[in-house]
Amino acid sequence: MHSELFRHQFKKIFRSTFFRQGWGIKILLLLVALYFLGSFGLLGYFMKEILGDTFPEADKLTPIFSKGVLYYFLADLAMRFFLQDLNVLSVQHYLTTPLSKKRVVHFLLQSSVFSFFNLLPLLFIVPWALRVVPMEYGALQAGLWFVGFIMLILSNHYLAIYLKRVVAVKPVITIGFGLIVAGLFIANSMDLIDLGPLSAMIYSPLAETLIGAPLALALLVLMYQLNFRFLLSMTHLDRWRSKAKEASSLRFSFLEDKGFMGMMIANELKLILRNKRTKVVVYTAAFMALYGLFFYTQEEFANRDGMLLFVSIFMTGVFMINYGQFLVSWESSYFDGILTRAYSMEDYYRSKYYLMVFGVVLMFVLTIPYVYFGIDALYRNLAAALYNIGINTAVLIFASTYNKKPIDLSRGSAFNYQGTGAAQFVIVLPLIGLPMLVYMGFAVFDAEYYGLIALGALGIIGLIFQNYFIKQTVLNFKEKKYINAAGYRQKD
Amino acid sequence: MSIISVKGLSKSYNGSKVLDIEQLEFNKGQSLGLVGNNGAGKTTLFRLILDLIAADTGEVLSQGKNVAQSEEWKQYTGSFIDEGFLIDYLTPDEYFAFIAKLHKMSAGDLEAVLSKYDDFFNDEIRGKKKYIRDLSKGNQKKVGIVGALIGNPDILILDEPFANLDPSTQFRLLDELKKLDEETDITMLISSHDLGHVTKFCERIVILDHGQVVKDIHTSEQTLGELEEFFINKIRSAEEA
Repeated sequence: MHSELFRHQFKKIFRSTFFRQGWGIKILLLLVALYFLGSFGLLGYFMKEILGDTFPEADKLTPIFSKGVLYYFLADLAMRFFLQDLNVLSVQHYLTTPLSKKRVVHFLLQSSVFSFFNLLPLLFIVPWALRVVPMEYGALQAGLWFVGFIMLILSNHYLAIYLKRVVAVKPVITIGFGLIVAGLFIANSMDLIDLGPLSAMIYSPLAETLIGAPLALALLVLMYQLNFRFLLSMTHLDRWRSKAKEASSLRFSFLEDKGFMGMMIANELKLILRNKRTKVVVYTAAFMALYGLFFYTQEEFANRDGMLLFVSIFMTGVFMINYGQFLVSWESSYFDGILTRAYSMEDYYRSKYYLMVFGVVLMFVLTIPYVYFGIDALYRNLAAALYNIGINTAVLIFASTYNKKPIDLSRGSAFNYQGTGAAQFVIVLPLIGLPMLVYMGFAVFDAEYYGLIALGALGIIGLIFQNYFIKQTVLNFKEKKYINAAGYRQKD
Repeated sequence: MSIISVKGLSKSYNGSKVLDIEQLEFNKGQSLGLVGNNGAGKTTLFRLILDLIAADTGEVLSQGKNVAQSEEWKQYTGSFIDEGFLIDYLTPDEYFAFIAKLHKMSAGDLEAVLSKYDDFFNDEIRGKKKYIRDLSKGNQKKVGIVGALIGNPDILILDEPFANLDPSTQFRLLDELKKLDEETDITMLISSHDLGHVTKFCERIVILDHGQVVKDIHTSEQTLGELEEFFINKIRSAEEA
């Protein structure tokens, strides 16, 4: 019976929408996965040589290895805490079948083991268990070390799940947890505390004694039981379902009173602030306003104007690009409503246009402090902002008429590629590449300022022709809308 | 006088025809009930009238203008097909206010309209701090139906408005639609699987079968029996075949 349940799980994965995505995105994600697998794999394999070269006087390397393990486990715990979730609802349809509740909960916990976070550490411990521990402590201890380590990884896995289910009901706690882990690392790097000896104390017995591995096993059993009991007491559906959040009272009435456009933009702002995935766009934008610091504070970049212009385009345009890539897809769940409501599509697109312009202006204002690095930074940001407003917004709204993949707004955003196609990656090239080309055309003749003026001028020209762009977009939209609407209606 | 006319309209999916109507006129002020089994083409017809899908052949004229070319019909047509019409991250109150603004109604006028539906809402919709996405299916439907009525539309299109509603609410809706039919000049296009409901307030009933209009009846005392007979005969002929 258990194996039948696992078979369902595999079917669920292979029949999920991820595998129905286009080839472009599949290949890209595969390459990304291979890259990480390859680089971590190499790092794991050559860990022996790396540590050996760093500590040539050490006669045994495993104690040194053990010193670092706690760092890994802490970071691992934090990562799992934020990114990994136990989807209890995925088994709710088994609750009414003749399977016992205990069995369903066991299955839920056991199937959660198939996770990326449990695969990654294997890249380090398998080579270490084969190449180092046998030489230093003998084959028996190497076996114990390996088994014990797996137990510890799984303990971490179940601890993260437990913490998340029990304490992570409030965002304050989630953020607090993140701060504590970050605080430990910072204190460690500032030499206020040293986690190394503590780590060695905890993890060395695994290789040096016979009781290390049984202790690890006991820890795993404890963690598993903790989860099992907790979940078993929660198998009634009403306790699994998260309560609906109370509606936000943020109304944007100052915008709603400003006629049609104001109301449309107020609605967009509600869309952004009341849905998980769009909120991530806002956080990203706020975070990316700091991106420039990385370049302006480093000697090797600070004098490379081309690089700095790239940063300017990116910083002032980050919200516009991230939001504009899915301009209409965000509203895919009620697209039929949009097509029948009492406004023209031209007004609809104009409100989208203004929202993106608003986004660029806001990002420009946020990046004004870069003037600290010289007045040129301000000129650069201004030219980039004008270009983004005039040209890139037009490109994005026109491109949006080609998007027909639905997005479910309620789903979170970590590793969520729903609605993403190769087009989303391709579109970024002209958005950033074209203005770079224009600028470089002037920069090679040492006329950087003229390059900035040219970008600004292009932006202003685009602004003057905005009505033309919007009209062209609507014409194209009318041709494509039936295909798009059919695509959006396809829920998964 | 006809307010919507359907001419030579056809639509196929994957080679099979789901709708094929030579000519169908909807008269101004008339309430029309559309019945037919699943797959008969009811929703397809509504979607074509609302320009949500493209016709293979033919056209739909609303007040003389092709709906696929002019956007004027949006101003005087209220419609609710499914939850795909609702902005689900708004509260019902915000949603109503939004629709009212599109029709340039004042807050007072909106309040006057909504207060008429207090019974229909059963105190579960308005003034609650809940997003539409967190409402039950039945309550979402109520929001959609009333949303379609805001702005005094000349044409009202509802796809299976009675499905998912509890019995009391079904009768309340029936009353509201009857009242609307008697008191205003509204043209109603309502599809339903409940033959009893549609015969109660629709002046005219159209039966769709395999995408074609097979019956077009003026409602009378005998209509309900006639409809039941039609659908029972369908089973019989299927069994014989």
